[in-house]
Amino acid sequence: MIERDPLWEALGTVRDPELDRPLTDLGFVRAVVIDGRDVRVELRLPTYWCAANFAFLMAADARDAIAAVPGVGRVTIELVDHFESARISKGVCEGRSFEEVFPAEATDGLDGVRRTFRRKAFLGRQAPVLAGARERLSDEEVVALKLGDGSAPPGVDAAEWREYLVRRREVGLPDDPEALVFTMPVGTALDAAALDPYLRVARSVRISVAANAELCSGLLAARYHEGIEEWQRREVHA
Amino acid sequence: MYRSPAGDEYFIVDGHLHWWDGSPENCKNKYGSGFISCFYDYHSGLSPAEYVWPKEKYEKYSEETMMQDVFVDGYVDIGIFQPTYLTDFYVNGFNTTERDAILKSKYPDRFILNSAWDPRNAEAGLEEFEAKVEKWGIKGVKLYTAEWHGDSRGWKLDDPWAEKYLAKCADLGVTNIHVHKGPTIWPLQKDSFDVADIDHAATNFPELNFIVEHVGMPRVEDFCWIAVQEPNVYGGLAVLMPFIHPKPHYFASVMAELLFWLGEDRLLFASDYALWHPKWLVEKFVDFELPDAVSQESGGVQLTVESKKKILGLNACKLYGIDPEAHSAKIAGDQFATAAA
Repeated sequence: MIERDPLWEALGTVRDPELDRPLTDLGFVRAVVIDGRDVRVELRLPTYWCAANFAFLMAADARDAIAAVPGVGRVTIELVDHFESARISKGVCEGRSFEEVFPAEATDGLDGVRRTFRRKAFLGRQAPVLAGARERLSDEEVVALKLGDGSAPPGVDAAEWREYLVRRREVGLPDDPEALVFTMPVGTALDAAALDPYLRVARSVRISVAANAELCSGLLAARYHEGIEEWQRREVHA
Repeated sequence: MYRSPAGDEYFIVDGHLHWWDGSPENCKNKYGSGFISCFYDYHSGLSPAEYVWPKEKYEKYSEETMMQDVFVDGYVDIGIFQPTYLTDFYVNGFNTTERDAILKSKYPDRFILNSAWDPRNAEAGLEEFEAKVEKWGIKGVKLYTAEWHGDSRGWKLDDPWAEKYLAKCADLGVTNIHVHKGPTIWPLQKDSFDVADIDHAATNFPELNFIVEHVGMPRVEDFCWIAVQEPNVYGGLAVLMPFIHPKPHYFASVMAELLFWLGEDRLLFASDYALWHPKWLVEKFVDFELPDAVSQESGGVQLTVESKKKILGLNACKLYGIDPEAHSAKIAGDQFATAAA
């Protein structure tokens, strides 16, 4: 019999690429059903119309994450209440790609979408880390900062730092001790004289991602009648 | 006209109104019912509890309800109808120019009637569009690039046929191109929020104004980059406005972004009625102050009484050639102004 905790933990590593938060935090996992070694995961989304490409990505990532848990046998992912529920669920369970499932509509794969949103997630996560470091260090020091042993630079929140390190790896940046802490998503070093406008842009991405995540959690609450009053009252900051 | 508790007067143009029919009788398929249900979640999720309608009323509301809500209770002086056809989902369409024209013809001083076109209708659609412009004196269109059409799941403003339609708009003096770039219906594979095609069109047609509805949400930052470069790009605030109630801090942050990148002259208020009621949106917006910390983080931008007057009406007046004083005088004695007094 498979335990529930490692499955939940595995799903916690799967993020909505656009909202940059785990499916488990977003309330997108409706159920995890264990039958011996086999596992079925039911996913739900904030709206009937959530983009099919994102939905497919999340369902496929969930499938891969669950399949990687030791001892798991057959994996079934069921996307519910969505305009493409049937095709996505079936395609993902059969291990097929987005292009195979939607041959008429998909002209290219999901790699481009994934790359775009990894870049955005990186920028959004970099903003508070960079702002924190700038409070303690000069701009020249900030742009020259090296990863070293990987511990958080002065002035940087530890939780933000951990998230930033993950996003760095996901855009393919090196994590050896000599690597620069702050670069553009493609690895280009930052210009100390242009940190203000650079940070301005990164903050815009952060605000946009955060506001969108908040909207989606509200829509999910409204859709499934789960605490919309509480959601409306909850004070949040970007 | 809205008079604030402080005594300031605001001429209100609601940049985005619907008179839709999402009733079960009009739904063609599961997509139609899925669409109106999705709209209802936006409505019930973000509205103050006392403004939430029963689902049945929301699916199809009467002329009386709309006129009372928008023009008597909602302070709106003039509203812009933005049609959303969705004929693949609804028997008679969801919210068509033809349906909106019923109210426009009864209350001509209260509405601006916009039309729509779809480049996939090619030559035939072009002629049909020209006839509509002539019939109703159309000055603007609402474009829905994500709309389904047979097997197609959407189009882009830089498609060759779209360029022909834009050229036709320029010829006919249909200068206000409202483009839906925001949530709800999504083509399958394309990233429907991608605002890059706006950039292309705005450069090629400098004589047209491009009003990006929902400010590109959830891609506000992408929209901002484009708007910074293209002076004829505007932001329609529908969907962002209701954040002001449940999430005022996010509203402040995103407004500050827009004020920083676009400025107060290129933002247009909209309720998206019946998604949200203009009464509480107007009241809360006039009452709203940008927190100092948010302002400082965004280069010191301010949201003053003058900014609010522009956003709530004066900017739209410029785009549609309305003289707010003359128009106020014109509607001063009508049944709605009288009822509101």
